[in-house]
Amino acid sequence: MSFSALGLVALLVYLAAMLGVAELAKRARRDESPSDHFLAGRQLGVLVLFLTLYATAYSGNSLIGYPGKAYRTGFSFIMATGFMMSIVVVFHALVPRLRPLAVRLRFVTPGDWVRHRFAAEPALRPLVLCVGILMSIALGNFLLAQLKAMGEVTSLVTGGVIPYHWGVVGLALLILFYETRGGMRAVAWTDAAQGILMLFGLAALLVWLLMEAGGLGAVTQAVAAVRPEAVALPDAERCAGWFSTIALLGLASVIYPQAIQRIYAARSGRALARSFAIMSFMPLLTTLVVTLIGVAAISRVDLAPGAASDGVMPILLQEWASAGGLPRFAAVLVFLGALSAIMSTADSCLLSLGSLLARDVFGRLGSDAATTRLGKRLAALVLLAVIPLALQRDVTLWRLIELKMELLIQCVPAFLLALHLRRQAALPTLVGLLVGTSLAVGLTLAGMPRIGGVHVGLLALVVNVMLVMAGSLLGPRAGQLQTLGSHRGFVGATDNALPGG
Amino acid sequence: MGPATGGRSGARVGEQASAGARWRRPLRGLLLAAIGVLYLISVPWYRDQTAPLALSFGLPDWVAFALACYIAVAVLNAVAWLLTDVPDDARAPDPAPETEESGRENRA
Repeated sequence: MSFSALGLVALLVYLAAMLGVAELAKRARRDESPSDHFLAGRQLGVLVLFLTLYATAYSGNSLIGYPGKAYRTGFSFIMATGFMMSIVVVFHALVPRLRPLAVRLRFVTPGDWVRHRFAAEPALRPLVLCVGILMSIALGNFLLAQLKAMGEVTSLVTGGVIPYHWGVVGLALLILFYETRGGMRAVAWTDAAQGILMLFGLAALLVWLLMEAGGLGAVTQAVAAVRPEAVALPDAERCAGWFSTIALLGLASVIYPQAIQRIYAARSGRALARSFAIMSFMPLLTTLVVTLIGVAAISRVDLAPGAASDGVMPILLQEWASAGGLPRFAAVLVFLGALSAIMSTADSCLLSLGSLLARDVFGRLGSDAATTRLGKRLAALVLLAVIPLALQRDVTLWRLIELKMELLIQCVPAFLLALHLRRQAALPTLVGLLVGTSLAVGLTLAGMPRIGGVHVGLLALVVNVMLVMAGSLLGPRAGQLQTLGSHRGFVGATDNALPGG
Repeated sequence: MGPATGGRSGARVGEQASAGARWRRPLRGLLLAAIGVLYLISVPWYRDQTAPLALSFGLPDWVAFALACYIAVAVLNAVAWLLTDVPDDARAPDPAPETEESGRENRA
């Protein structure tokens, strides 16, 4: 059987299986409430929770974009293993404080936290709206990247039998179908299956690559011979960029709406902590593998300087598949693993977008079926709006994800800081967010995505945090002075004196 | 086992749990601080740029060292998570002021 025929059959079997899982999820549904649809009734146990966190965190960018980036950058892209790990580290600052509140107050979206935290303050509504809009733009951006990747992988795995455009449209509609029917339960269960497929696919690819190249030492020597700068120590600016990327992705990724919603959806705090403990090792099994694959490709693939680096992984897989027999089957498995990573991230984005738009942007806070229906309709509308953009193929996945992070990171003070700084007020948080976002977008549009190797989004966050701190600590906070009494400053210092929790 | 013995045993378990919580928190803090240091040294900003390429475990030595740091981060972070108490009840501190609106709005 040819590669394209095998790919087509495997793709159809995979998609049918996803529909089957979605149908099972629909039958497991308890009611039509937003909590059941968007958070799977808050009943995700360790294994499913871990797999859905894993499949959501590792997207099309991780499997297609990162090898391309490693191919262009060389060994210094080992930083990716560090920044993916930093996400699980930064969650320490968020989860232990946010989770109990989410359980007690039945949070559904990130905006629910903001509403609770800054309740009764005049700037609350614009703050929730701005956070909601910023997160929606970031999610829309992320969704766009996934749709593009879906089109590329579908076209490749079927040898062009299903062209890029049909891949984008067909798979987008399939995701919308199963997400609408089964909600978070369908998304989490399909994510679990997709996560397992992804792990097998990556392991198979790494084994093949190392065997082909004759081990790590041979890979390094070959890379050093072809492109010496790929093995050279990074200069000061690159080191600054390394730190900056770790901070940017670590801080921004923990406030992905879909990640926050998984904190809400866990069956228990213990299940959540165990899932994160397992997640700590996943960058070694995923990001490190794709980095080594990208680096190993330096001596095997001759990509033109201007060509999109996202093409590296597909070229390698096609080379592998051309060997026929078992390698061909394994190459199809890797393609499906990549498609799984992409689809699992896209479905999570779409689900979060629905709830975020309904509750945080349009202010529908009800727990009835009408709110759920509104969320589903809004998600469908966003998807239909993003599809035409995804049909444009000229922006690489890496640039898309960087833009998204620089916007998302401006929401950090409303979450990470607000969980720890008791004096933080809504108005300075809003001002900081608006100034930080304007600065990040303005500098990026002015052609300065980095200054001295540091992302402008991170620099804008520093300004953002300074404004929040100055405004909150220096200015009086209306309506809270009486309640707080003498309990000022950072929460950690006054834990025992805090009200009822 | 009589009820009195059971009570004493229960109290002992409670004391042990409380003692466990006492050492778990600083240990977790220590692990997180160690992770910070590992991140700081994983980036080769302090290395000599002119040094010739040396391999370690088949990788450039600075890459192997960064990787070793990240493996250590993974292990320490996993342990830190296992030591983390994520309560499901209302024991955790709430940084928000207690107001009528805060709970009611989210329970709506």
